[in-house]
Amino acid sequence: MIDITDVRKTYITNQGKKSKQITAPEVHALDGVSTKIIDGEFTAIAGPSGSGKTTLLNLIGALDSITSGHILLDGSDVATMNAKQKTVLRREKVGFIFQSYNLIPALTAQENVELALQMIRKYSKEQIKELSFDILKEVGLDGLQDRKPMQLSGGQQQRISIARALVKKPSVILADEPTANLDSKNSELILELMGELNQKHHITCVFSTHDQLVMSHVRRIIRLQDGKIIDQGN
Amino acid sequence: MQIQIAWKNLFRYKRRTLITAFAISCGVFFTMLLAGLLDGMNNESYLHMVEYETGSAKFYADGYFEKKDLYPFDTFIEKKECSEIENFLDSKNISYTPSVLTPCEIYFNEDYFETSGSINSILCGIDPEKSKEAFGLSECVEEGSWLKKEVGEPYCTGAVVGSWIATDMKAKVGYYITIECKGRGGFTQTFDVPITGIIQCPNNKINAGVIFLDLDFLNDMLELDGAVTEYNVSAKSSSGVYSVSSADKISSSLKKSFASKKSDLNNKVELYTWREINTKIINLQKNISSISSIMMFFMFIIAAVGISNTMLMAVLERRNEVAMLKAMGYTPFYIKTLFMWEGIFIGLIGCAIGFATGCLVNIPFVKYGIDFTNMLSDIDMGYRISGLLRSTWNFSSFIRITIGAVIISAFSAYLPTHSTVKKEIAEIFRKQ
Repeated sequence: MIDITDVRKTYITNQGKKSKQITAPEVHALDGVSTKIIDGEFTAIAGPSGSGKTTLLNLIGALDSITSGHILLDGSDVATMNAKQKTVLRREKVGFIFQSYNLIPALTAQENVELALQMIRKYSKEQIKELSFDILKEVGLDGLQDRKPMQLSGGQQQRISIARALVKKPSVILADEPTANLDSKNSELILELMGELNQKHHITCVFSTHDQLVMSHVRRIIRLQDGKIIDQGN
Repeated sequence: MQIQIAWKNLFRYKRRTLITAFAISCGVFFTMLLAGLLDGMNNESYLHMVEYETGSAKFYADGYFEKKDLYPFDTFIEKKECSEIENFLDSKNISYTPSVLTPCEIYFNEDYFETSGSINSILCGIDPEKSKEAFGLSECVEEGSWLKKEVGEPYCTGAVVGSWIATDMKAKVGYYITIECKGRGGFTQTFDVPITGIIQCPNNKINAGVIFLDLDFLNDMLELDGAVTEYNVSAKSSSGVYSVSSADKISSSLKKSFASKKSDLNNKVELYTWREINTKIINLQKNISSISSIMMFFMFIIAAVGISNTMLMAVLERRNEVAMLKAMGYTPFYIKTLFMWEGIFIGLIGCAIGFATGCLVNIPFVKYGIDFTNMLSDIDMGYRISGLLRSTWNFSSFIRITIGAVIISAFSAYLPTHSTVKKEIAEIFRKQ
């Protein structure tokens, strides 16, 4: 479960840093956000640009530091974790999917997926290969595991990044606008795939999006505006 | 996996890898050539010193060594000590030759030469036969012949002159020259001698300023009473080859046995190794080598700036990748080492290219050498090289260069990665 309590995130702009003003210009990206996301939930954080949805996703995934408040992920408070603990959390409990896929071009599809398991000590080399192969099959990339990202379409690349996020069996998958670079047909396919995987593996999925298509697929939408939750209905 | 990714990344940016490796290879190439040439210069210079000039060691009369650069003509090894030295060296079965060195003025006039004039030179009275065993001089006569006694004559009255002096005077074999110098006791002696040989020696000091006469002839002319200014001990090894190592071996063993010899001779003569005699020149050569090392260092700094710039670009362009790896739970250390491996591979590729091209270019330099005759006849840098300079294979410096290049490459990759990786992941993504 993800338990978010009174989370605030404030950025000090570069202009403020340079001008050495006593009260530097601050941007309140999140302003007292509180919500709960239960295990296995298929949720979207929606809102217009600058509403703070990516920031909230980053804070849940320990990609950024929290100014104040608490985020409990499986009972551990992300706000009080040091860098090492955050690294372990991201390695074991969180899977990320980004709109630009962020695959390593020099590696094949399978190697990109294997990368997610390399740092987890409990897997042997053979297990890593096997798990990666199986998950690629599951996301519909059977036979394409030896292709490099550049040899695949946008939709296929996003499938690799889904496989990469899913292969380590995380508690939560955080997807930052996963369909933004895809056409509607591919977006639909990706969302259907994620929905199936969510149901099959019972992994919590949180999307940040302003895409209506995504919102139509999720079971709950948390709406943000100016860093505050304005609605979090089903 | 880490090394595998690093290796694959090299081929991802082929052009960049090649440009960076090329910068390193240039540094390695030039450093290798320069180190080989400098080493070659030093080695050849040392060899020419021991083969043609100092031998492996020299005996001087007590007090002569300190003033030797002024060629003092009041301090001699007397006849009695001469025979004692010869007995000592004969017992060791080492070749040697006695000699007398003194400054002189050579006059030449229009009877033989194109113009009249004079040249300052060093007159070297030397035993014609023993010198053949002790030095390689007699092998270097390019015109005429080395000093030799005619049948029935007590000594040879001809002179063998250095080729550069001969060129300056426009001298030919058979021409007469007048030599003026001081005799023992301070009188001035002047005598005419025919040029019987012109010597073109690999040691430029011989070519540029020495005129050889028969020691017995000079003994008569300068009233030396059998005294000499020095005894030269050969640097020839038992296999008959002159080398620096045999010079070191002979001189050190001779020095030990001479020091242990408890006789009156030890109080009257002193023994100096060729390294002690040539300390100033050896130090000068070392200084020149040090300056070259500094040049090489700066060359590497320039290469390092190029590498750093390329690696910085590589890291900045791949910020997303760095952020993604961090997001997947990779430690900053792992990511830094990943980029450092790339730097190391580029460094090694650069070194391999530099080494291969350096070897190709160095082969003719080692085999045939480079002719510096025109430059070296005008400039005296202290090196005992007359023209042809041969490079060497300086593998130890190549290993040093490789280690340096790899460290620089790795470090160049480390710095930008370190500054990127320490940021929050969200910030890295934002700045992409």
